[in-house]
Amino acid sequence: MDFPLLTSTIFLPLLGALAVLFIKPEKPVTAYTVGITAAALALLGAILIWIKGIDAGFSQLEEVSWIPSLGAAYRVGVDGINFPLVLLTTLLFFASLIFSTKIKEKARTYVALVLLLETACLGVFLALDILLFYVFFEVVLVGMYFIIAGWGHEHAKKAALTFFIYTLIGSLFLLLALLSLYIHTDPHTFDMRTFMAAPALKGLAAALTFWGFFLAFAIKTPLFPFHTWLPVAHTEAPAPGSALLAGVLLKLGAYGFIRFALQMTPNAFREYASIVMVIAVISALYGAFVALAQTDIKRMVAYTSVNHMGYLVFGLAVAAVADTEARTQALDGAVLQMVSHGVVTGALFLLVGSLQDRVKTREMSDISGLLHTAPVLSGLFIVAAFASLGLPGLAHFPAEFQIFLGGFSVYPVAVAFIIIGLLVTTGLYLRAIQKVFMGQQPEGLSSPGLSSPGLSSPGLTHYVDLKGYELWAIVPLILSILAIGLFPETLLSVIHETTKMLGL
Amino acid sequence: MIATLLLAPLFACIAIYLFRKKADIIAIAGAFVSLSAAILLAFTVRQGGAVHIAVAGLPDMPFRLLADNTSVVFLVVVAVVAFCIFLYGQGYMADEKGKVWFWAGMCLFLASMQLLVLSGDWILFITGWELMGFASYLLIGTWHWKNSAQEGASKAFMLTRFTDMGLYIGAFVIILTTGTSQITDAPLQDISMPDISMLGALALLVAVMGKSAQVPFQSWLSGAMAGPTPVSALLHSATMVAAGAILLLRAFPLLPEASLLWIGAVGGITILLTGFTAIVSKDVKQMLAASTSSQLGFMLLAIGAGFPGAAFAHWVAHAFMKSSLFLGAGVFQHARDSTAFDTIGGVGKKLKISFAAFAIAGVALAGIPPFIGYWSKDGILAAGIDATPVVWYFPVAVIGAFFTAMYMGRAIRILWKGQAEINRIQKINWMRTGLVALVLVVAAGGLFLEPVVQFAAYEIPQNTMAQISGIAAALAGLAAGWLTNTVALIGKPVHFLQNNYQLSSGYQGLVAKPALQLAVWCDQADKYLHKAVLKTGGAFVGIAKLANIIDLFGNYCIGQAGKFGLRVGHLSRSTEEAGTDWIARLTSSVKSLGTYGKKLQTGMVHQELVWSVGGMVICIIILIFSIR
Repeated sequence: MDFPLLTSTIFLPLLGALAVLFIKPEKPVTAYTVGITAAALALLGAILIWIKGIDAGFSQLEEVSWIPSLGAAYRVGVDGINFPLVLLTTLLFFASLIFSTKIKEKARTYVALVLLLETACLGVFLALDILLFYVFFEVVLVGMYFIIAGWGHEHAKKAALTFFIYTLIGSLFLLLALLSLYIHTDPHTFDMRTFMAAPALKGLAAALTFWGFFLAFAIKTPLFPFHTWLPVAHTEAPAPGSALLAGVLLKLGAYGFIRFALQMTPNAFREYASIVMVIAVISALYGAFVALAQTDIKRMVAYTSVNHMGYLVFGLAVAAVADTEARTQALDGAVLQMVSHGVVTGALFLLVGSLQDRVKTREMSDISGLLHTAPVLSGLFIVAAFASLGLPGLAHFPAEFQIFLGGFSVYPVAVAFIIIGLLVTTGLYLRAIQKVFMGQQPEGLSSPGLSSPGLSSPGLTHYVDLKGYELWAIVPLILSILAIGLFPETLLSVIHETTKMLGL
Repeated sequence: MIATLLLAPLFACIAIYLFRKKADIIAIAGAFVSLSAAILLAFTVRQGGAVHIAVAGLPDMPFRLLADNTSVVFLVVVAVVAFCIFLYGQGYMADEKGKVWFWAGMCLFLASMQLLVLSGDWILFITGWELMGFASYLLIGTWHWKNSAQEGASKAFMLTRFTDMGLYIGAFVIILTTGTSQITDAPLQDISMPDISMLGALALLVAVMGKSAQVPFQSWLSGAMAGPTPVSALLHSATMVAAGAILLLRAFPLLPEASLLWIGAVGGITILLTGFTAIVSKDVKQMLAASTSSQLGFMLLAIGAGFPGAAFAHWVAHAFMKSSLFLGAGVFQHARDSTAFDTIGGVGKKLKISFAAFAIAGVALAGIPPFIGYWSKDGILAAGIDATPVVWYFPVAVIGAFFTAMYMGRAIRILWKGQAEINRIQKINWMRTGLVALVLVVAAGGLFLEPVVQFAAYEIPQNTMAQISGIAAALAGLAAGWLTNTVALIGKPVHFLQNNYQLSSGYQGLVAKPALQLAVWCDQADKYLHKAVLKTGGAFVGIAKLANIIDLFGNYCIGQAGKFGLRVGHLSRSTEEAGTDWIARLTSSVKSLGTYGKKLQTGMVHQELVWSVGGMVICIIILIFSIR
């Protein structure tokens, strides 16, 4: 038997978490060292999985019998759809942990929780067994609840509770839908590959199951009108928490849409695709417009997630109805969009976190002229913002271009509407950049010692540019944004193999 | 070679950003390398034919680079103009702030324009197109602490991005119609290529109108004047606005017959309206901006008439003429710290070389032989005559030529007459070098224009009547501009004209305000939605009290697991200290929240969590025991 690479990658962070809890390091530094090492090893694991080769179908399977009487087993495997997410997850957790090192309070528990969360996320993406999937899915929920509640800003607990109630309801529907899959398949099994190979559900059962999945994942993704937990949770969560929430956790919903709704109930999805499409278009536009109305920069970034996820689900609706070519294009775009959104929004949230640490506010009207004092922070933010509004050469463009191109052959009018979202996001980012980064620096802060902008002078410590640990966390994400934008083929070739197979 | 051409300015941009020193030297070196590579590439293509490169891109749609006869001409023109402007910029920016930002932006700008010119497929074309927009945003915002720069930059990017949606739609239509993202080698038309639909053609036209500042999207050009003058020179000559014309030339084989009339109409209207604006402008840079729209209108008119060759010739000529004019204006600006005609009047007598250069370029733009502008404008007039079904192309072009000559004549008069004290300009030699190099091309380029156009596989239409009427219009216009005080002639509506037809609340009222209002409504709706959800959630929580029973069971299981003395149990003990601490605090503070004040609810939630964690632990235990 080969070395169990997938299992090792999944459980390495958990091992790190246990190590942190057992060793009980006195200093936060030690805890972070262990945590970052574990996350780095997981990232290495993801890269090794890539090197080992990813086929169109599930490969590198690892299977251990678990509850044979129920047909449940520990099954993991990788294909072109979940691998990009594994890479994204390991990268973002690595970056977020580095960024977290400034969190000194209860550092041990924090590191352990984040690592537990990483294991759970990887488990969700790689699981090929619905019971296993569900278990990991629930653990993610719990882990995130504690991170928001324990290390968030002023209204953290209320936000955590909202987050929890919402996603708990989602989980309920997910459980029902999963059970429906289980019951309607003969012989009973929890093996996801069986459901995908021959979607057994028909008629009403299929429709109900589809809507069960839809509700569960629409809350998680989130789509309008199930999104209101998102801005609350994002604004209150600590910066690395927001980055993980937007970067990885939203992808649980999107991934679920592809894996379950699209692959296991394809006919029902095709039947209701136009409804999903309309909801997606509304989400994209609504998210963009609400974001435009925000004065709090973090809330603004949070709402753009609703917008981007709207594009993504639009791509999936297209994939559900379109013919082979458009279907592959839209699906390629949607899968890539998950990764792009992860790195772009992850970077944006970390940058907003750095910004908040310095100016002690998130109200855009209270900040100005940051380009003078923190040129690196501002420059990176501008790059990430333009990536988010879909500038070619940066991460979102290849994804969105393919989604819209695929969509144009099926729903040309909807595409005409949905690209208004691109304009609104352009407007809101330009406005944010103009307010926050351009302009004169505020009077009170321009002390006489500030002859050389960007350098720290006494009394201005909160206005210095990015520090080492922040750069180590953010720069890899920015580089990924550039890499995806300039060499989309690298990831797309992996994705395309699988989507091509599904398209046939 | 293609790689060097593109990467030299790109690496220069990155190097400038990283080192933050010697920005000017790095940039000029990058531009020089790019220029050399462009010239070498031109020779290669001339001898060996077109060069195609395909690299991995999107699935089934590789990124293609194409260096054919047409694109190498574009490349060389862009590289020469950019290099001269870079030399000039070294002098211009000597005493200005924001050097690193400026030079990095200029290099990025050059790289993206060259990418656009070289692109052999529509996706790379869009990439170059949009990156150039981004670079122009940065460059217009060079002095980002100034209000005008911020507004100008945002407006330029927002407006062009709005019209860029037309390019997206157009590209979708093209890809779906032709089945490939490849751009056809423009002049070597493949007859079998199907025309795209009218919708696609008009969508492309919208993109062109935005980028090339055609009516009604012309106003961003005025705002863009807030950037440093070398930026304006680059933006208005061989790049940015010129990209619109390139798009039409590239897409020309695909355009349906019926769409040409629309293109011609947009061009014609723009020639007249913005030409008129230029006549009454109060500021030399604003005049040149309006003139740019008007000259691009000539190119659209020629394409609409079905003569892309004439548009191509005018593209080349205009690139040199307009950059010279802007560079000249920049010298006057430094001399008087202003670009308003009121202030720079008479400055020409003190700065004779620059004035002479400005005047030559101006006369050339007016269409006086033997300068380069005569030959290209002549071609457009001939195109107007030969465009058979449409009769109004020719008169519009002649009036446009008259306007052009008139505003140039007026500008030359104002610059020459009167007296002015000037500042000592640092490093004026750098500025002069760039300017004079460009004007030499303007003066002598007329001889080479036709061979170059033919090399690019285009033809300039010719017509004796066009030549005569062109010269007549130019002379009459120059005389009229020199002799009359146009502003005094017109009176009241001048302000409207001078502002380039900015309907007082045009953009603000039609787009920005409704969008913001809609955004505010959506935001309010979102808050209501959130409250409603919380209320519903509260009702459901009551039902969930049942879960308590299961919770108790869950706690019992954890206890049992602990007693087993398993490591898992140890783990839960070791976290106990931290765990109970914040679970206790959580309970107490959640209790205090009015909305969720009910005791049972809060208890429910945290116990539910414990239960979930417990469930996970149990699952892991079962997993461990059941592995065989």
